[in-house]
Amino acid sequence: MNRRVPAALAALAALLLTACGPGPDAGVLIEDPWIREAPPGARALAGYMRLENRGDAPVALLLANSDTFERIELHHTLQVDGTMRMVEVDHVPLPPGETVAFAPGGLHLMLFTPREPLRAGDGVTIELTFSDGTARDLRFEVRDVRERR
Amino acid sequence: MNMPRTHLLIVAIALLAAVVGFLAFRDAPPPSPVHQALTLLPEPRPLPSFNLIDQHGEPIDEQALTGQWHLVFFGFTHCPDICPMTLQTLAAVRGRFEGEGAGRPGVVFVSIDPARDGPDMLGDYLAYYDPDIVGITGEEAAVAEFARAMGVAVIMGETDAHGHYNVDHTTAVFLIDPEGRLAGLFRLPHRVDAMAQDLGRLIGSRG
Repeated sequence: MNRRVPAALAALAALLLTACGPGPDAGVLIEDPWIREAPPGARALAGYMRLENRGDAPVALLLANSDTFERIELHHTLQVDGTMRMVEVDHVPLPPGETVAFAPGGLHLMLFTPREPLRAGDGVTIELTFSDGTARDLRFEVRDVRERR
Repeated sequence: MNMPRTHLLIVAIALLAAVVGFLAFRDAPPPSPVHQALTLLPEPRPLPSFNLIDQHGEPIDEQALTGQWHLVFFGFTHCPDICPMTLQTLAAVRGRFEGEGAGRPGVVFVSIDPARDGPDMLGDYLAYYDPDIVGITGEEAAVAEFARAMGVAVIMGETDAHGHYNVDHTTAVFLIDPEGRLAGLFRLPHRVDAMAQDLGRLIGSRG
């Protein structure tokens, strides 16, 4: 038997552990991921969350993917002289020690074409990929945020 | 990718509208201290006439915006962030006037993306927020003309590889008086309490 195989496996395991299980002081903390419930038939939804970089190094959010949507882009809503512009960004920088909010009227995940109707209370798994090579599966909760009358 | 010619035309019209809108509102006085969110025009001005259709496919014109106060917002249903926020806010503002009959403001949503927002789409979309919201759509040129005449900037984005395009647009909410005249506008941020209080004062002062 090749003695290198167990060593390689151990190295791989160590790498995976490092990638999947950052220590409590490192990595990006993701809080309050949610999706705005949309009217029936809506083809574009928005996802929000807060990302806190608890590490010492800058990192960036690069991609978001989900089986539930045709595709996802990172978007920023900008107000320019009273006009709303929606701009795609190719990454979102997360400086060390800072929290970046994806919130209504600003940064959001632009969720294109849900493959099934989503109602309040549903959970949607979205994979976020970061510039340090890590990826995280996150459960976004669909919320109805209309004011009750 | 080349923009279709109609899109270029709409961009040109939108830029012109933005300039006209800027010139028209540049000299407006600062908001009266009694209003937190509302900018009143010095004098109400007549609405441009239009012939479009509502979410039931029925013809609708400027006469539909008389008889009560109306809040008019231009947007599109493929907009996931600002448009839902605004519709939700306007539905909530309207909710504050429940039981006030003709004193209750109506809400009107004009789609600036009529190619994707047909009556059925608009009907389902608006009913989620409030079935009494009036949706307006129609021929692309006629909608663009109405938006231009209202001073609403509409900038059609390029169509991407997935067939999606974005539409940048003015976010102001227009206030139409019961005589069907443009009385003022609410700029961002749109907050339910401030808008409802301003409206309540204004409607109360007009009896």
